[in-house]
Amino acid sequence: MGTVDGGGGGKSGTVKQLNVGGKLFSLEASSLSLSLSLDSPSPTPTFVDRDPALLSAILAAIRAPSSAALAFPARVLLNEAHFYGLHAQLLAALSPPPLRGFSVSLASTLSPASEPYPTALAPHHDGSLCLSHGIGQVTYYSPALDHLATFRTHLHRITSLRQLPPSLVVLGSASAPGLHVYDFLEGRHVASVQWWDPTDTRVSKAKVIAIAALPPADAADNNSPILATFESPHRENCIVVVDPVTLKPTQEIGRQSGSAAKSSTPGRVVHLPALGLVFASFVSSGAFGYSGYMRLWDIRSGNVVWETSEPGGAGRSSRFGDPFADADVDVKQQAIYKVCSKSGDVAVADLRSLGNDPWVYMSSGPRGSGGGYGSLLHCHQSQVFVSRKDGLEVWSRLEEQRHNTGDLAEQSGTNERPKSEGFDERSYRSCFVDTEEDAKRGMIQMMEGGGDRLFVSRVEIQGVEVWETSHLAGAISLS
Amino acid sequence: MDAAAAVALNVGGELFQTTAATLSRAGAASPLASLGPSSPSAPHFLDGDPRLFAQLLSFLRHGRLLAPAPPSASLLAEARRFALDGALLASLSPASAFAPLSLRPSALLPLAGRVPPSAVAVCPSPPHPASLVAAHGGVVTCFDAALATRASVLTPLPAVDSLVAVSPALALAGARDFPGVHLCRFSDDGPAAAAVPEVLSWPGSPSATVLSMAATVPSGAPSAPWLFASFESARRNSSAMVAFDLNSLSPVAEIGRKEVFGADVEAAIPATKLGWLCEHNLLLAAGSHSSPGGVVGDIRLWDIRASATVPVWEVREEEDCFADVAASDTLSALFKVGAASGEVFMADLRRLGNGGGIGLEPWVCIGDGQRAAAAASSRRKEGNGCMIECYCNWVFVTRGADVEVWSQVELAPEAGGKKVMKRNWVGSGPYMDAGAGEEAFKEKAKIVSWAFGGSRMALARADKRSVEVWDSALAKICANP
Repeated sequence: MGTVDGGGGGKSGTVKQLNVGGKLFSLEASSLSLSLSLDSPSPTPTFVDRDPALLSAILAAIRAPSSAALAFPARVLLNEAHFYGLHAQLLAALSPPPLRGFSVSLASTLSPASEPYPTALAPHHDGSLCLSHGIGQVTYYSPALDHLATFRTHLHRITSLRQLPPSLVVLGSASAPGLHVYDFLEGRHVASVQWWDPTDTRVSKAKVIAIAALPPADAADNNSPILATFESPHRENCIVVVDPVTLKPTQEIGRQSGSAAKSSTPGRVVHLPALGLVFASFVSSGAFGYSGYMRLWDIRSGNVVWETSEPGGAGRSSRFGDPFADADVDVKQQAIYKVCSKSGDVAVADLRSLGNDPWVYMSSGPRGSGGGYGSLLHCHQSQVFVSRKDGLEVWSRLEEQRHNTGDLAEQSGTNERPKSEGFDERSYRSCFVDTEEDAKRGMIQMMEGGGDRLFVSRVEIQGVEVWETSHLAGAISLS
Repeated sequence: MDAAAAVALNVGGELFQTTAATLSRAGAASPLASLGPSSPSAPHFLDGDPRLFAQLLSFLRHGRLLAPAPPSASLLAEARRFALDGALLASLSPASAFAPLSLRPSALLPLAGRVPPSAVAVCPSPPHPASLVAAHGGVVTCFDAALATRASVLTPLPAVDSLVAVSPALALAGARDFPGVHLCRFSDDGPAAAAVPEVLSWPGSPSATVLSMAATVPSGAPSAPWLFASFESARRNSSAMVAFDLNSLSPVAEIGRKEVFGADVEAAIPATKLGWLCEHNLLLAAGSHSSPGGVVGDIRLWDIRASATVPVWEVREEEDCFADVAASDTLSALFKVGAASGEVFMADLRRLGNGGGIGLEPWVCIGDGQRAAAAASSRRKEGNGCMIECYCNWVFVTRGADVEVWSQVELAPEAGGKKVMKRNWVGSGPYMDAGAGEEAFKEKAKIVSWAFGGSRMALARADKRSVEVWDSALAKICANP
């Protein structure tokens, strides 16, 4: 009744006849799970006592990926697909196409049943989402965005959260001490990590400000460590490196006194495993504008490799009164992006050639008052998402175009060469992601990319918005 | 996968194949269970709708219906032909799918007439499907577990204050100002009405009114369910709890009879809240009395096999007396809401002092202890009208129109291994939210009665002529068993 091609169309494997609850199916043996395909080929179809309607729904979904309605809930089909060994194929068919910031649309809004005000988001590269919301609750949505579990933690307000696959979640609170590990499927507290210093008794009951675990953008190995910034009550802070297997602290880097803005606890940590570096940034804002620092630590030696702080530092004078409002690192591109608080401009710095003033500024034209005030910046899949007061903007690189016009650039001037090797402002384009109606719902409070999805939460708005690229036209019938 | 064990069925012209093991899950009463192996060339013929039968076969394979929508009436009728309706209804709202943080409003059950519901109850769902009973005026209406059909009976009571659902076919109704516990039978094929009394009353005082009821849950044991009812005589000078055997409908025991002599009302406060602790075989009985001097109350635990006159444990509540008490089997604890503070307190059943003597204060505040102490000393009445109930591993408290849930979080052994109770709101809580939630917010009225069963919570709100059903199964029903 149906055939699934296992990838290569030309390679025709043996076709397997299946009698599923009285209905006959033909499937390619190589695509089936081991237990079913090991049976020696026999003239009579193999009988399995299963629901034929489910298998035909699974096959229909695999054949027409990202089509609209499913006959059964996705989770039912995914469970059933395990039996036939079609789980990976079905999951791929149910997942959205690759995220393209310039063509995403609001796919759905995930709203947990109780207290649906998100406090932290932790997506994973498979498209699943862990979400802390309300008073100390954590909800897990599977890669098909099925609600799988909600549990209560002992913390009152979770402010940092990261997934630790397959079933663990690392969380911390800016109001209660310790880094805590929960098993989200069982809702069980597994372990907790504290920052201790036997030589300094003041270091106790340190709170967790930010966590970096497995860069959610790519399928990194399971052994990359968890980094958490701890802040003790007298504001002394450091980055603790936690082993993801034993869940014990292994190392302490970047210890700072916390007595000044330049040594405050970083609010964002990014692990750059390829370079052996840890990026940490701190931003504070007040009546006099923004101030903050970015720092790169060598994870092995614990030394500062590069740092900059704004305002001040050795920036160019034209940008003096324009400190950054947020900064993030694109691990794959090896670039730091920042958004300026006053002008709202986005700037990029090449991690491979950082110097005194590595920034290449990109302007997206005149902006209303406020510029980059309250902006968030998030790098995901080589795209830079920047939230503004009036919307969400994405910066993408025109990579194909750059390759095509490579000859042209060579002709135009040799002094442009080093720049185009790195980052050129002309190879970036900005687009609005959302519509004006979307922006009217409120300022974006948190923004995280996971797999081919972008998760957005807004200030004092229930639920998490899921933005996906869709191949469906979504035509509105007028008749 | 053994082809020999395969059973071929021809249902209305369509061929189905399954195994005898799958069909035997229908239970011995079902005609499906007795079908033996047959080849596809000579299938068993069953007269029926193949579309509906496919769903029933899928139910037998998975133990649940896969489509999220509630089953249609035609599917239920088809299930009845194969004696599968009981199992089908029970699978709709399994207690294992109950998760308070996933509860969402799922249905609004309108009631006939003009009287808002005064009491709701849900059938104990492990033995029975979680059907729902609501009393509005003197009418008691039963909704089946699929929330598809309803049946109403008229009781002689003008209003029902306490309601217990024993089985989908039987509910018990009592009123605070009218005598006797009235039986409400929803099916016609019950025992002949003449043979059994339709009213259960206190043998010592047949005109006694009913203050509260609780039924034992038949937890696997073959013992018949018992009903405990707290009676107060019409002259309000004596009270007792009576245990009835619900099979023979005869009184079994009289527990804790109290007489009021003179004006000493506070010495014999009748029990206004009963609870049954199945694991511990204990009956919780609590009553309070409000006077200008404040609220005082008694909480007693009775082991009815040991003594019907001396409770196992009792405590006199004077400061921050309970507004409501509940007992939890799984958490092994008593919970109360303080009438003055509105905070929640917990008393561990394993640490209760053994009566007499000056024991330690049994109650530990699991809410805001300082606020509780301040409220108690300034004699506020923040807990007025709050109700508390325990279901599975959770404790629920109503606060006006909202429901609060307390869940237990156990920390890892290295982090102290402590168990802590943590609070959340069910639903979005009493937050003011603009936009979509605004209408829903206006709809909210004070909760007057509530019940838990299966994966559901049923709420009756003041002056709303319908019962609100919250369900967590929709989120979890598809989870792998």
